[in-house]
Amino acid sequence: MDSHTIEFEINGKRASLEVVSHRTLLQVLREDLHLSGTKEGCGEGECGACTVLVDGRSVTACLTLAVEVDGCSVRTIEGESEGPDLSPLQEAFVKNHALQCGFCTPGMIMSARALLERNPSPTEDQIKEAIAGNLCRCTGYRPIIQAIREAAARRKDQSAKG
Amino acid sequence: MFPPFRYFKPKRIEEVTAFLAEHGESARILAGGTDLLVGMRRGEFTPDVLIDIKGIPELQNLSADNGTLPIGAAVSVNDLLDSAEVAALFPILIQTALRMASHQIRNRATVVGNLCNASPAADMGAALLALGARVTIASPRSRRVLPLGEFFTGVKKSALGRDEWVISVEADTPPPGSRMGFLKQARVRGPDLSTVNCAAVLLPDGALTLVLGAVAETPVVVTGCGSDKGNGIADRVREAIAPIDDVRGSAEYRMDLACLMTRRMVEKLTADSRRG
Repeated sequence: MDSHTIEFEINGKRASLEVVSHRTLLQVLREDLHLSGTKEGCGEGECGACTVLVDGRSVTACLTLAVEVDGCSVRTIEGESEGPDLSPLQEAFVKNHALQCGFCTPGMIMSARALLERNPSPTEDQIKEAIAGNLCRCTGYRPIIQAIREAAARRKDQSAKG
Repeated sequence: MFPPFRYFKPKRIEEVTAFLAEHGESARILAGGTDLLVGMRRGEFTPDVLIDIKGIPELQNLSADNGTLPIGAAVSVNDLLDSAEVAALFPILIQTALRMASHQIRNRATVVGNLCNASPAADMGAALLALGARVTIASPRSRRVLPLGEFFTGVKKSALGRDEWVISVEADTPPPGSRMGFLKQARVRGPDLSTVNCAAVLLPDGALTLVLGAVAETPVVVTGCGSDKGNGIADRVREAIAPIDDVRGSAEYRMDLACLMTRRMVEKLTADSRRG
């Protein structure tokens, strides 16, 4: 079977891995690296449950081949917390009850992370646009939007205090 | 999930062309993968070889030169949205890109891939047809340039030969004072395929190019609009399109939508020019 050695960074750590060509990034994250925070929903790029960041840009890991991330930096939900502490974004999700079953949450947080990094002060419409590719069947989205707004405001406060 | 295949990531255009010539229809080009990998998962395509073109610097080209904008085959829809030059010269492409898929899909999906998938509902197909764009096609023999109107030949069918592939699409900057727009009607406000889409460019001399998508086997350029922007244009639209029933809407609904969207487009472009 056609395989390739890929070198990449996963949540800040360097990794070198032998992958067969037809495995997705999602499969390699979950099955080889045991990073099972990233979920598989639809497997067709519609639901966003498998959203991860590749070189800072959000992508659906189900429609990305593992071999394609050779030389890239990959971030998953496991890289979101800072040691034992939740990130401000994660804390805002908890505080606002922005999840019920939790299946969409890792992808939702990765989309929110990508948004806040390209736009630290998003409007409500920009937040909605940024998570339009992440389906949630529990919350009705309001608490998720509120959590992202709060996390953005908190980041702004912190950088103002600097 | 996918049956095994071999993966190549060449660094030069000529290598891709050579791989395609060697493997023929058992090879597929991988750009963003957002149509290809979904199709492979569903068993619609079963390639033995995938040729990843994202390692070829030339295919990232997105820089207007001498009044022409080339969009290389590896340029993603979000790359387009990030370009100040595109925003200034081709607002229609920005309007179109913003209505396509979700942010994370747009980070991968390419403009040229949207054309090569050759869906009748391809939003970039409609917008680039309205701009009179052309594709540049590479093969072992030579390169050829084809007007986009001759590229789409049927549902998911293009004029590409088995050893040919698209390296870029080019659009000329419309003259100053041109008006352009893109409208899309889908089942939901969020990411969805078009039930009907409509793209148009109105030149300062009054000539109108109107394109309707998801209403026939290929996107339709409604000919003979000339400067007739009154009621006659709806009759032309009715004659030009042949919508079908599918999960996104009935033929009858699409016919009405196409006429309504045409009217709104004409109002929008002429109101813009009065204001301008």
